[in-house]
Amino acid sequence: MYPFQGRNLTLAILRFPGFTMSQFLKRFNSTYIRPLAVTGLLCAMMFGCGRDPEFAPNKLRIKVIETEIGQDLTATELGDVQQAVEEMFGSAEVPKLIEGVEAVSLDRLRQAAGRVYSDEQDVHFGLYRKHCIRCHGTAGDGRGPAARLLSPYPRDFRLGKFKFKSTPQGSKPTADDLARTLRMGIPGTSMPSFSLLRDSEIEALAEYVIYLSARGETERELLNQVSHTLDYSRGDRLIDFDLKTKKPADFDAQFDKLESVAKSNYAKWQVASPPSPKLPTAFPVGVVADVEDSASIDQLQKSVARGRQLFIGNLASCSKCHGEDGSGSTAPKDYDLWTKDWTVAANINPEDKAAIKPMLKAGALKPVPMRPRDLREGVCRGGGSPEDIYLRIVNGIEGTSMPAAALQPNVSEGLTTDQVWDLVNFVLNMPSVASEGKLVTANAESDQGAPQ
Amino acid sequence: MSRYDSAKTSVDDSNAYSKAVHLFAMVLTISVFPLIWVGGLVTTYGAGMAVPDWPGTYGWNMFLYPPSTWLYGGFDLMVEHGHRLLGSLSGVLAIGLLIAALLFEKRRWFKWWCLFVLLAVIAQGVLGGVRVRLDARTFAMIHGCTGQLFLAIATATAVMSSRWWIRARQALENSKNSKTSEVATLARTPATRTLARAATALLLFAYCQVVAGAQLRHVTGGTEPGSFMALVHIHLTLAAVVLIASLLVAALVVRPGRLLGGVRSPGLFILAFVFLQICLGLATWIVNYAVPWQELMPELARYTIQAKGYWESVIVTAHVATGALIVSMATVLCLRSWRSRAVASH
Repeated sequence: MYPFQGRNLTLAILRFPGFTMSQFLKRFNSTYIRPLAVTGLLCAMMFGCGRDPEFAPNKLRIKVIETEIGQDLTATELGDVQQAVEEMFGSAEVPKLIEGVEAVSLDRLRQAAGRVYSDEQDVHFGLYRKHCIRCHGTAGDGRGPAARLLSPYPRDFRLGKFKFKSTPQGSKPTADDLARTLRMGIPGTSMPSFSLLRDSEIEALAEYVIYLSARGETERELLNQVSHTLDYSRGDRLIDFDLKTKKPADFDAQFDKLESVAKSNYAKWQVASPPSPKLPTAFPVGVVADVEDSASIDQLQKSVARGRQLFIGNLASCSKCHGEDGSGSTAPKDYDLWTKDWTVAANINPEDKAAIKPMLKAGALKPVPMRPRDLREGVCRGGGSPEDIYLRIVNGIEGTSMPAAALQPNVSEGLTTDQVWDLVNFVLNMPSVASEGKLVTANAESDQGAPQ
Repeated sequence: MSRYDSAKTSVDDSNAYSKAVHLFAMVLTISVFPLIWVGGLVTTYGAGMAVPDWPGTYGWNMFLYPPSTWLYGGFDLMVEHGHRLLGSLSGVLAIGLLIAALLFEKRRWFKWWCLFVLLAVIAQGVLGGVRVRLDARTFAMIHGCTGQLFLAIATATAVMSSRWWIRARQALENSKNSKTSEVATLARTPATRTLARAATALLLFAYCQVVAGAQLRHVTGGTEPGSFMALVHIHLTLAAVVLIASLLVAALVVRPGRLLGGVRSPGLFILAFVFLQICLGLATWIVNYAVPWQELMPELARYTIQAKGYWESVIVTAHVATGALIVSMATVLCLRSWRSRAVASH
């Protein structure tokens, strides 16, 4: 007998709970309509979320410029900028590199960009999309899908400013600085440590960050040119791509000018690594509880005491923001550079909800005031080794209210190098850190992570 | 044939139990769980495109691919190819189930069901193949959602082929003659309508939650921050709804004097899994995006996320797998509740 002979299968299955199809549908409509509606909504979103990401124009910058000049940029102006940027930098899928650029290599960009896959030799591609895009966004705008829910917000690379680096304020970080942040991560934030990645992968990602940064800065400059320097109403053009076939020589001349903008943005990244800070000879640096030799403990305690005086005194003035207890509760309300770029710089008060609304629509993230580090937690986001803290003091933290310390001999009233190390000792021995009795010693490697 | 006759036929299958069919159904269900784990690892490590072709593996027949390259090549290749092999195992088990059903199963509709199970596992494999051939994350997400649905289907097969299911009718008959036996207790106290409906609602909510979770997990750079935030809110809301539903179900299965054979354990397991799942959900957020309120948790503020770290990967993947367990257990509870009502009403 043929095994599948029988009554209507659907009816048979629907009847097994003990009611008929009409009863089933009646109950279904009354009880389960809402869950179904939710499922439908989710399914609809399912098909809306799978788009391949591409570089989007810097809508926020465009909005700021339009607010400044009091009129909208035309489609031609915006089109010229986007076409020029794409011609020089390629797409998120296939990056391009201008000839003569040495800060990055095309092979590494190709490994970091594009779709995610790996080959049989276990070489991984699409590293940025795999590891970074959820937070930093396709164009490195710090506006990935998860960005709004993170604290602090992910870095927007397009301004070319980075907090944690070995170089002075105003300089780009070295590629090693970026690689170090990638390896170490940033404790207490959503920035993970990628130390399990291969060195080649870290280098590819660091160079891709440089590429996105140079791309973002170039886009900003070209937007400034079309809005402030060129007059499109009188026939000026940033670049006319129609000339590419009609008058190639004219086109090349226009394009060379634009390339020089991009090249100069790449060139800023060719920074030499400054020498590592040298530990003082007169006293040890580290945590008192870690030092066994009584003479060293005495020297270290004296250094900590001197550091405390500097911390609360007027010379270093650390306590003005960090508070005498290091809690960071006394800082005046302020916003970081990445927020000021579209608020204060555009004459918008970050706390004026009506004024920031159009900016939020253009992609800005809700302004959040900066908070100085609560030093009692023992967490230094740029790294917790003595050398890291030294660099934060002498270089400041770019884009924030943390200034670079005035140092002798450049500033006669500034801090001496030993005084900076005294401050380092005080920060390392903040009460809550020292009471845990573990941690950083004077011999700690410079790439050691935050105090544990 | 009247409505009541056909309904009676559908539950009058006291002699249909087949050990072979049930064994295949159980092994199939058990095999799907590690398949979901490994599939979860594929997504966690972004290894979906570690093998560019399908159904072959780097030009080889999938089953002939050299084990040395598979096991000692890259980790991504290992999990992706391993996922395919495990998927094939489920396919073979589904074929075995169908053959066993054709040979030993007496219920005609169940034979059709076993054919549906085989088609479902084939469809799931093809979806995985489409994901690879098109390199489309949307299909990865659908594949992830239907994977959990397939676990529910396999679980349903195991439940509907079980001795408990087949002999529930017989238990009802026995209860007329015995006032003290355990089977009599079952027959006298079937699941209440409220429990059956709550279990069904729980199953639907749990699966919606799985779909919402899959959206979050497979998000691409093209997703707007606002959409992501909405998804997170939906996921959190559904977590609360599933928790409430599981608490209600647990309260209904442990009501004094209402001991329901075959229903109490799944009901309590679901509650335990939901609590575990909420903890894993919080942990998943922390290992992906850090603590949202660092100032309130200075100890966790020292934590640096380790990208693709061992514990990070285990936590995230366990969150997926526990979601599958909840759906599976809710399927058991739902089917058993309705079944006990069905046999009691006839």
